[in-house]
Amino acid sequence: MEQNAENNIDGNTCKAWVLPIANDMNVAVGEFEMIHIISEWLRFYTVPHSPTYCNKILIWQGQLVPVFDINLYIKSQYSINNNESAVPDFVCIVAYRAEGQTKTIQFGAVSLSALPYKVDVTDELFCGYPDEEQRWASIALSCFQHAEYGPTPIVDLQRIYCPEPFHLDMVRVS
Amino acid sequence: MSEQLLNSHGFLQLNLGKMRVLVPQHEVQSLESTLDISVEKNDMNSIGNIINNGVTQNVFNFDDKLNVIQSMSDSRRICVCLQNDDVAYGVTCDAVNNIDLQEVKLVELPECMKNKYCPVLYLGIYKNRVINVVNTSTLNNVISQTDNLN
Repeated sequence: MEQNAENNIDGNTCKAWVLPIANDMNVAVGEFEMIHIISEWLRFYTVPHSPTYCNKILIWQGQLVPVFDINLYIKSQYSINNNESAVPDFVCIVAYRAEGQTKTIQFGAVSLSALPYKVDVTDELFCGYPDEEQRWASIALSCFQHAEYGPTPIVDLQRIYCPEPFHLDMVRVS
Repeated sequence: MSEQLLNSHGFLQLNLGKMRVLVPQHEVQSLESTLDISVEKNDMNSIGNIINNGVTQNVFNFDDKLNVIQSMSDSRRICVCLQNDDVAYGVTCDAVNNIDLQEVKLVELPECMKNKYCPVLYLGIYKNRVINVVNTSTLNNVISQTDNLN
């Protein structure tokens, strides 16, 4: 299992945030990758003709932050249309390093159905992705078995927010 | 194209209902009244045509999700005639405002929001609202793509 060295506690265990992205689905990010939870009302702006799983943007601390709906991305075969996606109950702000020479810290938002919480993750918890038919491999690094909710993919934020052109499968629908 | 866009002297804001779209000033040929639009259609997705500098151009109407609609909206008062090296057409809108680049904090559309059908090149915050920067070419992609869907 890939690990972020910063998260390493005793060489085998690391902390992670579990992000509930739907009633039946969680993902995880590293302890220091999630930096803010927003539970109050937010104004979302829709960017026309962007992928449905990422067609909203919000203003956070004076910056424009894209809102990624991982559940929609994973479950939807038809990812691009100009329909409104649902407004999330909560969002969290995550940080990642941009690709390229500068590798500056960038921010993104993840749509949530409930508030995140922390767990300990060990190598022994490694397991396969929840559903091989879905597109976890394109955005996840690994997966661990959550005691209560089962397989929980650990997502790679850089691959989510800085995909190579058409890395995220996109299919046009009318 | 992007550098040319950012070096543009200014932008014209088009109000399309709730949607705010910025186009580079250097691509705006003229502003006309929608009263001058002829309902004769040369393109099935247009709402008619207009004569700009002696040349007949198709006129298109976008809703506030930037979908091409084939009927005129009551609130549209102005036809903005756009032109680049490849294409020229008119776009109807409710109102227009000149915006100086200095007033707008522009950021490139995040990679995860890009696809070949999205006309937005940059996003900006202007007076606490998000605005979408497009140009004649990318808006024309939306029009062409509408052809494919019909």
